[in-house]
Amino acid sequence: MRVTTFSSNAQFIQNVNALKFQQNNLSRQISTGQKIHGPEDGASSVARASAASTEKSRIQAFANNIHRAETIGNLSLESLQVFKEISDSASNLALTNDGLSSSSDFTPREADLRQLIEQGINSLNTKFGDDYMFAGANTSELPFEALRYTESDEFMRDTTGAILFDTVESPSGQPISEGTYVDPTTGNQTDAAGVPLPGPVVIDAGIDFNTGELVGLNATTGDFDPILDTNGNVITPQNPDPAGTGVITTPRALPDKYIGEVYAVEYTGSEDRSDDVRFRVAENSQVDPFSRGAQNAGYGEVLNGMIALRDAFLNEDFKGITERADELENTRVNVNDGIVELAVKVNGIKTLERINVGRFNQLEDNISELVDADLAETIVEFNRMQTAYEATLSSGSRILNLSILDYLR
Amino acid sequence: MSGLFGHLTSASSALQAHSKSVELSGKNIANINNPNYARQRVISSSVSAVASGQVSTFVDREVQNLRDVFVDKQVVEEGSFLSSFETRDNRLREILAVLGETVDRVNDPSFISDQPEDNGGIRDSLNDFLNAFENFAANPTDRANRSVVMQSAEELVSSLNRADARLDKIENSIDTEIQTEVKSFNNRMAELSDMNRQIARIEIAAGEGAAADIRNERQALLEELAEFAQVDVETVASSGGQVAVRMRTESGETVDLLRPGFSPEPLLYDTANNTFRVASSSEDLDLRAGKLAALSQVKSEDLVEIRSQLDALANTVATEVNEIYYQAFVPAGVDPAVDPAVPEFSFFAQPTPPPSVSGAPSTVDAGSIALYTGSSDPLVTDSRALDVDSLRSTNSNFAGANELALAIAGLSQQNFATLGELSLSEAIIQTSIDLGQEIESNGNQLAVQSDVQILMKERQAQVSGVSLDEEMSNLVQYQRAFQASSQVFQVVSEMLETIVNLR
Repeated sequence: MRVTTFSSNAQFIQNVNALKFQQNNLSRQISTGQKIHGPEDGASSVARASAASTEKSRIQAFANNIHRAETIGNLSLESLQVFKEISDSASNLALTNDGLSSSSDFTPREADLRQLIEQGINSLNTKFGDDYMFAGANTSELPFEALRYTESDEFMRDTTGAILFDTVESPSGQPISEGTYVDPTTGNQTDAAGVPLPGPVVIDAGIDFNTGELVGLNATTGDFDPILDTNGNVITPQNPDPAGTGVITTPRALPDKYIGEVYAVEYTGSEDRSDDVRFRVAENSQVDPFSRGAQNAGYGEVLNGMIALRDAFLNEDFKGITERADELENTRVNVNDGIVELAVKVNGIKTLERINVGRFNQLEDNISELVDADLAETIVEFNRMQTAYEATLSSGSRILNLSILDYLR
Repeated sequence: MSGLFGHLTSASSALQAHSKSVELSGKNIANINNPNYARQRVISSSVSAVASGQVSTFVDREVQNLRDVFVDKQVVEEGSFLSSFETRDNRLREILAVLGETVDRVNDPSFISDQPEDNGGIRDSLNDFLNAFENFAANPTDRANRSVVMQSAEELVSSLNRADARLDKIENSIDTEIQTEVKSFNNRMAELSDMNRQIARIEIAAGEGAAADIRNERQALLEELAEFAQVDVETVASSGGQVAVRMRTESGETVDLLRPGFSPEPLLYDTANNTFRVASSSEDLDLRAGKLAALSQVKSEDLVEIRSQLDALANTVATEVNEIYYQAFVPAGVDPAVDPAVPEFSFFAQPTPPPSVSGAPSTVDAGSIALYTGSSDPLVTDSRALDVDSLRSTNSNFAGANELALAIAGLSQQNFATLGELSLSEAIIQTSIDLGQEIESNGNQLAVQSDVQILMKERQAQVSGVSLDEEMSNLVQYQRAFQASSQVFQVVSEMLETIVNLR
């Protein structure tokens, strides 16, 4: 076979170029730590690496969501636990009501309840960032709005906002019924104008049709004296019903110290299950880290139960205290359920977090296996290539340097 | 038997033959670095002549240009393929770069808490967009999340627009390159035609092979021509060594681009239809291989395929997001049953409203995809462009509700018929991978073809190449022969002198 000078040079250059290309390639692998850089280097490997990288970025997005879900869950749980302790305290005040007899026994408890109600409202209006924790989906609105007495209020209200009425009992112990007007001179039941009703019916209490004040028969004097409210004031029913068909209204007067106090709590958040906020924390996995809307509405009932209890203490109403305490206990079941539910959610979120971290690390390993260069192997290969390169240069320079010309004399 | 004068003539012809051989060795050595040169040598033969009853022996010499016609033809043919693969490789890599699908481990987060970094590719933009909605769904009231959604949406739109614009540029540059290369091809055809004429002029007068140097240049030119397109070259009989150059049409017919005695037919390129032809034929040419064929293939197949995949992706993103996000606006006093609702809010500018509402197919593509900028309909009184403030996570009145954001983020998990039953990110990966595989496959063919080309060039060099060692040893050989022939001449001359000086 003829080996020509030009082709032998060209072949030498090709060999040197090929080795240099390989060296550059290996050098790039060593400097970047990667054996492939794009689809042109290995389409199937890059496809798998890209898919894994996409999944990693999704897991990172889920990690952000998990972090938020965990924060919301923990914060909601803590707040709800605080609320439970508050409601426990309220309930305990009611359960230890034996031996209460005087105002000095009721007043401190009523004062405690006022504080507990405020704390309870605060704990349920916990906010994280711009979002209220117990508002369902309506996260931007204050969920538990405290309706408070203002200076213009004269009477106490129930938790629906309606004015509270006390039952006024007659001296005989029979509650004064609707439209009960009395002629204080005869004791006859009359209409609002003083016209004796058919009967005539002699009663011992009613509204004095002359003055509009509540009056009752004084057994000692035989006179009809005014019936006084808890503050010792004369009760003048607001709506004496002159037509004689209305209800005797005896609104409960508002103590001055109650101005600014809460008479009801209104839940403004969403309640429907479909409105509860859920978001993704893993592929095909969503969580609702917030307390459920329907439960939140239940927490409002607990607060209103505490308010009703407070009012019972204010009225020194033994029977009322017991009844309100029972009602409060019934509504407090919601709180316990809510705590359990949130705790389960937080645990679930933590499990998902561990799974996500595990998946991320696994994907990272997969990508590394596909893409990363084995440095030891690459450096050995690089040295091998460098040796070959040096040998080619050395042998080439010797071959090219000599020809028959060097031996012709 | 010849006489002394015959000896002198014979020695003289030998001296001329050796001198010619030395001259050709010098020429060979002078062209040792000329890749187009084929070595030449003197073929000597002994010729006897009878003059005045005496037989004289002469050394006849013929210059031979050492070429293997078959190998030369193969070099031309294989050169077309090599050029095809090289050109396509370069262009496919350019297109791949547009997609930005690279593996960058430096910026790739190694830990879940690392901040992900965007390498500017379409896949990353798409992932960022969907992930931004995922985080937006978890915290819809957070302004930072809303900003991230808007930024990622703008980046997605911009990356698709950018890719489309770059593909436009590549297509334009291919058009320009084809036009330039067609011009170069035609110039070379004109040069070839000139060489044909020169070879014919010389060889008709001086015999076949007399125009060896021009033949060498013509062979180089044919090899260059083959790099543009696959041409069939045939030496035309009785034409003084001229060659005809032909190409084939799509139906397989042959078309002469160059015929002895005629001007070459210029190759024409129709940019709009991406076809080649010559004026004398009504059929389009099938270039089969070569740079022009590769450029044409990249334009008509690879670019079209990539564009179609990118357009499908952009269209699917816009349509699917708008299907979720679109909210019709019904002006006061308008009965939606009578008058169609006009759009109030969309996410992407097109299609507005989405096909499911309008009934019209979406026309959005990678070049036209844009964010919604508000309605131009005069009935829409409170139309607002999409921005951080107007971005909605829900259609309800609850600020924390997220059904829209959740549904849009959920698109990442869906497969779409418009994308060949792939998900959005799978589609863009598939596009890159298809292209990568094409590059790999083309690269493998390129490597094989390079080896074939090297082999053919080696075979060509084995026949035609100059070896310095060979030429030097030939030179010594010729020198010695010349010296010996001179010695013969001197001896015969002395013999004649002896005879002449006899007394």
